Amino acid sequence: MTQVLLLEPNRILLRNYADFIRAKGFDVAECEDAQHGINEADKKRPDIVVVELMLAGHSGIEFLYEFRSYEEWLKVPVIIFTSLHKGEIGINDARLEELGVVAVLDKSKTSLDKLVTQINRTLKLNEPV
Amino acid sequence: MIMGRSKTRAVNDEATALFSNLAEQVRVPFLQISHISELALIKDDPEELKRLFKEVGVSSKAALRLIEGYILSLHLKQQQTLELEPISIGSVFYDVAHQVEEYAKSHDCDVRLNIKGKNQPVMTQREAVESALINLGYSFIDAIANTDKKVTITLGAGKNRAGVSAGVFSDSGELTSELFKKAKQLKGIAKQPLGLFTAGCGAGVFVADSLFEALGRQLRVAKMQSQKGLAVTLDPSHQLAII
Repeated sequence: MTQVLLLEPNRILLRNYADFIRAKGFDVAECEDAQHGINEADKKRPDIVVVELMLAGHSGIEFLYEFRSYEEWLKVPVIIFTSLHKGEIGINDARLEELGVVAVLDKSKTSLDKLVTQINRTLKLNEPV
Repeated sequence: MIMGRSKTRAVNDEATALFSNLAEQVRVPFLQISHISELALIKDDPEELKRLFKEVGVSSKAALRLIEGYILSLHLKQQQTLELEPISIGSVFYDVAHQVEEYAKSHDCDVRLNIKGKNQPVMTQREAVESALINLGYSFIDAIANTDKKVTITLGAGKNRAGVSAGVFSDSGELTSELFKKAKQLKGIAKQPLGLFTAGCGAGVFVADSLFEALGRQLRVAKMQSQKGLAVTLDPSHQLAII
């Protein structure tokens, strides 16, 4: 089953998003902070990462830099699912692309169905030819 | 005249910053509500559905308490005089614990009371202190780090040299006086003014700070046993002594 690594600091939102993504046929590793995200990535070998940027301690961007420093995770695509507006992210599109970010979704404007559609679309595009 | 305008402006800027910070916090229950129809469709188990609606209710209540706290702090700051009364801090803590219990349960967190010794009644405004401690409690629960162990927040009170100390404490997150001082300047400007402590905007902390400020008290970083937290010192009441 396809493994999604989900980073969301709010425990209730994390549970809700994870339940929805699981109901659509994915395995989900739930993480509330960056360190736990790295630990779970090591255990679960995710196929895709969905990350909120506003984490406690280390930000989602710091997590992505750490995540990308591991060779085995260089090609894992990332979807940012955040409360921040695009202008507030503080990092340009080119840098996001370098970090393997394929989409930036605004939580307030994105339905859960749309999130899963993006996950599916990303995985399909990443399928080996 | 210019001085008066600057003062008003400073007060308005402070209220705006606090409101801006609070607005970020109330997004959470609205996000839950906005996704509820999608989530309800995937829940076959009626118990799961009940849990979902209950969680939304709990989050919404917390957001309402936050808004109420904010409005109360504005109202108190506008008053020329404050009516203080002798209250038992223990009874306030029992009420606060009861209010935050459900929220704590939804976050897999325990709430513990630690009321040291024979606490003298304090002279303060009960509604404001209760609101401040409830909102602090919510913020501390929000801040709990991802851990396999069950996390505990403590509502603690004890005598100190200046009076009766009352606050909220936990094992989670890094909270220092330096961080708290900077965070107060950054509220309304930064999305995560207490970034090392909590992923959210920590609105409950700032609303509590504003409420205590309105009472002429200062919220500060404090320790209780091995836990760190935020506490305030309240003046003991000499009108009534509980034996």
